[in-house]
Amino acid sequence: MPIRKGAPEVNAGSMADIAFLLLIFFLVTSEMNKESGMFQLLPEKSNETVDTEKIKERNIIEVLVNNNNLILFEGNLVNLDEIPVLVKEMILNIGDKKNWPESRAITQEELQAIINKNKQNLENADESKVKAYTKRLRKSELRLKALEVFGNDFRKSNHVVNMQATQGSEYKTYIELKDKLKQAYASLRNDLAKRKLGRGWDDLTLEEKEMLKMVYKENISEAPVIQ
Amino acid sequence: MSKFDGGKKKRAEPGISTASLPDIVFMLLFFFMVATKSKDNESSVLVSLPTAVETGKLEDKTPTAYIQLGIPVKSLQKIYGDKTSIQLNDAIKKKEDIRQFLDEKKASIKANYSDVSPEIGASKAKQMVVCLKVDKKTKLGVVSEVKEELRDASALKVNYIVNEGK
Repeated sequence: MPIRKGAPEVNAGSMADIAFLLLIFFLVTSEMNKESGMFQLLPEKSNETVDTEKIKERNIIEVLVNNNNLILFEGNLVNLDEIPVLVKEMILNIGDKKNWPESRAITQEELQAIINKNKQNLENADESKVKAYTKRLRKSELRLKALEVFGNDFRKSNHVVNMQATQGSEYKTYIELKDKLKQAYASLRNDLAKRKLGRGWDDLTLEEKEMLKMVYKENISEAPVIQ
Repeated sequence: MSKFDGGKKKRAEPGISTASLPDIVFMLLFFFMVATKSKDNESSVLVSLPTAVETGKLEDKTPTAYIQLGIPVKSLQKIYGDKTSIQLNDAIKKKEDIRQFLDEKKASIKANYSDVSPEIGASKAKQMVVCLKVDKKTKLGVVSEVKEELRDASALKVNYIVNEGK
């Protein structure tokens, strides 16, 4: 055996293999970047049907998808891209058209009354409900603050977007329509934020976002699918 | 210093053989392959998600249950046909199985928190969000049947998984 000089070196040639293996391992097992989704809270199952009849005709904004994936907005065939503008117009109802959704001004007194009531509830609440009541109180206080910030723009709107789809329509159209409806609200909020706060939605604080969501509260109801 | 450069001649050391390194690495790889449960369960149905703009992401650690709707993959079409099917966990199941599936999920969430406190477990189970991965082309009738099933099981929080973008 020949005598070698100096310490022998560990062959690092296979280090690359190890690294690649590790890399592949993590690629395979680790979760990919988180999935995005559209959230929906389904209505609770109850024996009573929701009293849709009590809602005035004018307050219902009707959108329907039919078996051919065509969209009817208030009975008229429309393009998907037109939906946000149409919905926005109807919710705002500038000019107070008689057959469009109604809204009324909110007074400081009524919000204050709700706050007081929530305070009382909180004082009398047993321990298990403290959390829920605290949350409610915070919300009502925030609503008052929203009124101070947004003034006349904070109105109580009675509108309901009624989304209907037929059994044979495609899921894709349904999601796209839902997306467009949500875009209408997003755009309403963004407009108001720009006008009153001078910033777009993305630059708002969490609290401001929450307040804007109160001002334009999403009210999309889904009717069961029809044949 | 003399310790290092002075003294005797260094004894020749044999090089460490690296020939067995790949074997070690492969053993590690196989170990992980066997021991870990990969997060994504195998898809038995083909799902091509729709696209939407107004999306949100679930908070970390939100307990979830996945339901997938789509046409079975080629290899399973002989058994299940080519109609839209429901995948729960790894297998294609019937609509009627959803309830049991959700109950099992809830139970396992509770079990995860059993050493902390049963109350937290129960509240976590309540927070469970059902993530629906539905193929674009699915007919809405099927989707709504599933949703009815969810309502029956009082799992009311639904998240439609979509691709983000225009």
